[in-house]
Amino acid sequence: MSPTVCPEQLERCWQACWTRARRPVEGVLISETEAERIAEQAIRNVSFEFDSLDDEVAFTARAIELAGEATRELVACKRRNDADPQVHHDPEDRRYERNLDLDRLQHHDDDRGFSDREWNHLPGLLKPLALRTLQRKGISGPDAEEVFMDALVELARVRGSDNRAPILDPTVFEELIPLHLRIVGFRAIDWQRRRNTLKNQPNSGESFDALTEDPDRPLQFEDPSVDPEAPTFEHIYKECRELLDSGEWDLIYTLFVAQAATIQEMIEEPDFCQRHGLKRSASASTRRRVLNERIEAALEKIRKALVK
Amino acid sequence: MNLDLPPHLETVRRMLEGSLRLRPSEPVPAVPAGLLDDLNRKFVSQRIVIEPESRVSWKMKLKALVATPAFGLAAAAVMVFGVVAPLVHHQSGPGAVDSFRGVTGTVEAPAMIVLVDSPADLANTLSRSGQFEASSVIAVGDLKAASDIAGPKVILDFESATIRAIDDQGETLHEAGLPTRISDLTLSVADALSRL
Repeated sequence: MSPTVCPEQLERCWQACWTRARRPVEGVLISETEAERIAEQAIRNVSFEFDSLDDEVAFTARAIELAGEATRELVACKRRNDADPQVHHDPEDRRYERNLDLDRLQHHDDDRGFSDREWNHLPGLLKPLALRTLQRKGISGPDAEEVFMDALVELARVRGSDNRAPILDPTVFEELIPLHLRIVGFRAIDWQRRRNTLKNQPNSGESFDALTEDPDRPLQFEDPSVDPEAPTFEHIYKECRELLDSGEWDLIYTLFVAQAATIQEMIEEPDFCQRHGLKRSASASTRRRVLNERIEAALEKIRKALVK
Repeated sequence: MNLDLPPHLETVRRMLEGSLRLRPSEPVPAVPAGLLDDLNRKFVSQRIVIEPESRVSWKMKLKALVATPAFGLAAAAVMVFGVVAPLVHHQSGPGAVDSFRGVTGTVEAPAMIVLVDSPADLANTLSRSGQFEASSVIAVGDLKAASDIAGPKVILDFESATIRAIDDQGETLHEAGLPTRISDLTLSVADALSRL
């Protein structure tokens, strides 16, 4: 247990928090000064929940989560006060023309459900984005239209798990885009299954495999920088926290997420080897092989958890 | 990195690599001044420092023992063995006289428990514990002052780490080292008192 906070750890955490505070979701942008204030406050607040920064993975995930939440709340509040859904919208985001009023979209009438006139503008805004995603998955034409409509209806349908409609989840309008695209992705998988069934070709693999391992179809996470569905670290950690033990998180975070060390540097570090039960007498190739096996097992768990 | 991951895990790896900073090319300002120091102060002050047992002084161990309920029971045993039993024993001795109240023994001063160079509050703590007769426990500054106390006594000398039982004639009837284990101390005192 280190007696003090490691500056490099704090630097990584700070960078992630500031980045998430400045752009909590694609399309939202706040000033650098506000991002600094929010990121710093998030880290200070999280420090009250932890006794140290030793568990960097959990600390960072929580701090990023808080920073993102704080910015989203701030933006939603400003938009509500100014009655302008375009406040703090990133001017470089040209995926669609203007934001819709999320409060109106989320307004629920006991008799008529989600029936505000703002909903009339939603299909026109979401459709181009959904069709582009579906095209990347090999679905186009009337099939894509059908999948898109299914996903749109699902936004207002009450989920069985928490008795809430998905449209109520977002805090800012921009969150609706990845939410809808995620639903589109699931409906696309259903569509693929139906098509395979019709062709009397049993789908022996998981949907993810069907989408990623087939050379005729593009990879679902081919390029995270252009994929608005790309999950953030705090989301990944939240979904998979219980599946990986602390040692696996340590490995995955250091190697891939923070990219703070290479596997070669890891196996040469005595503290790291001791922490992971690697015998000092073992050869470098043996230690590398053991670590490789653990890394693959951890990645496999994340893959299974995130891709139904 | 050359991990040779299976192709289906490469996609997960890329997903993780881009998950922390969605725009790695965007410049990030420096960590706010004072944040590192504040966190250091906060986390360091939260840590509970546990001293190894071997570093706890002998006197502190004794004080801790006195504070435990078990010490009360042991002290009661000391009273029985060391104070009451000798009085009962002497009642049937040659000094016993018959009176209208029955057989009474020679009036003898009770054995004193003398602490030499003991921890500051130990004598008071013992007196107030209710397990000892308050007047039988006394703390003195040095061994000479302890020797000057008249009557039978048990001297616990923390300076030389010895325990001695001395009768009313000043003769040492028993001498032993203070026990290395705190829990054995009451037994040593009882043993010394029983020899008077």
